[in-house]
Amino acid sequence: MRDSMDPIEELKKLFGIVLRSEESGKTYFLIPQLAMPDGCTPARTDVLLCPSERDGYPSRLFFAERVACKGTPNWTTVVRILERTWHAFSWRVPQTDLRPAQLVLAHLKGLR
Amino acid sequence: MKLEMRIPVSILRQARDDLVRQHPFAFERVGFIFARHASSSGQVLILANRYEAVPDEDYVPDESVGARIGAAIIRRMLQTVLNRQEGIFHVHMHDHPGTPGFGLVDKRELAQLIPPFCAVASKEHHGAVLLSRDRVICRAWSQGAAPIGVTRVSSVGYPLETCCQETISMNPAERFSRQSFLGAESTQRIASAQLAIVGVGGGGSHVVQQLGHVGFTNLRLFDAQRVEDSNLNRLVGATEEDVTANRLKVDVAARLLLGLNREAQPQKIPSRWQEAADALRECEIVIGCVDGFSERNELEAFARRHLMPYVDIGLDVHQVEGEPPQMAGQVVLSMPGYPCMKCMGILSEANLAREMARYGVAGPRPQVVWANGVLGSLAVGVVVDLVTGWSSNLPLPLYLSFDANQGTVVPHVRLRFIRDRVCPHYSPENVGAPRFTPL
Repeated sequence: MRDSMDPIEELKKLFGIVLRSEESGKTYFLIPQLAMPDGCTPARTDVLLCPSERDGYPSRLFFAERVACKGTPNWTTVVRILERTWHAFSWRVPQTDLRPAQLVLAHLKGLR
Repeated sequence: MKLEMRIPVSILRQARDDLVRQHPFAFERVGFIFARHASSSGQVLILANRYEAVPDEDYVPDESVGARIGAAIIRRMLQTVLNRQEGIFHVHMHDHPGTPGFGLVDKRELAQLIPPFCAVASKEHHGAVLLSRDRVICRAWSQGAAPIGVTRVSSVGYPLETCCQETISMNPAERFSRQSFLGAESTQRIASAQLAIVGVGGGGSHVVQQLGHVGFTNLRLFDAQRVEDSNLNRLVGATEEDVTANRLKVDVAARLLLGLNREAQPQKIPSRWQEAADALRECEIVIGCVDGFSERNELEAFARRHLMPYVDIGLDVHQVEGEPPQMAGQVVLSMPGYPCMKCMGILSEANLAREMARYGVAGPRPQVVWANGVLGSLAVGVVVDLVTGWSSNLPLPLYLSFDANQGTVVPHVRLRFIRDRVCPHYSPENVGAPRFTPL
């Protein structure tokens, strides 16, 4: 990834279809059927990125279902956003200057 | 399939202000309301999000009708509907009080005007809204077929008004003679209102009991929990036998309601409301008696998306070492179009973060029956005023602050700074089913 790449173009290039929506003053990016890290079950699932502060985290990645993996993520959150139920594990990505694509990858590290 | 339309009072006010203006030659004016929809298994909600006036120059002289508009404005509206994939409703007004009716000319003209809109946005409903000075009715079309009767049209604001084609069961008049000051139609309006109470524990049980006394019969009760011994210090209507029988809290609430009125129709939903969203969406008003900021946040977002007034109660006890406990609470009316609980500072990132630090579990919070009773009573007062409009003076936005140590209830000081604020968190654009824009 080149640092000069447009953040939205970067998202699309890495993940294919990406959709944007808003709720309660926050922007969300929906990535349908994102490939999970090797060894995860399911291998693909929908994810929802909130790139701004939410629930005390600088950013959050929500999953359409709990993902089983080699690690032991601490699934703490079940929440309704944009008329769907989403799950999230406790995982803090402290950097606030990452682009959306970098945020997705940083959150997925919690499943390794 | 039931069809219900919800229109914010602000949009109706804007429409009426526009439509009563004299046109240089037309006998009346027309306009357009745009809307988005949300569907559940048995109902479609049509949720209005803005009004657009028709400029003077778009009228065409025609003495055979009250107002005729030209092809250019219809083309522009078709383009708007195509681009935005929204529903559109032709609006005009009969300048009299009481329920208006579509005339033969209206029906003939609308049957020609509306079907092309169905063709360019086939997933939405389109149609016509007819206003009088104080009522609203609506006809809708879907996919160009014959018009569909709209079961209920609600104006969302204060007071909450509804034009309803459903049969309404009436409460016995004698029982409510002491509250006749609420208005001539109040008994009927109260009997027909569909309310949701989310959480029928310590606070919610007071709300259910008092709503039952007032004459509300259509209550949807959401709570997955069962009665425990530790609930008996505050759960109105619960008994030791309920603990022994491991009874659901919704069973206790329904029993309480039916004990007051055997004609009541409580609907028990013994699950998280998130798992029964269709049942919640169909209600006119949501009363949230929940623990925790995260759940309040979700409930308010849901209510705003579906143009539902949300009444929230909450109580907490703080204790600093060496000082007596401080017990305080709040009653909030979060009305679509007005500042939300984020604007009021109740739902802040700091509060949500503190709660999440406990892994999202609100945990056992201190609760006592007398403080819950105060908050429950205040909430019922807000709901009754919303439904009947009896005081003609319900302040919006409403945020009452309860100091249980001092025994005072006052408007929260923060209201001074947000009263005229446009809520930046809930845009009228975001009503109805979520829209996702491909990047």
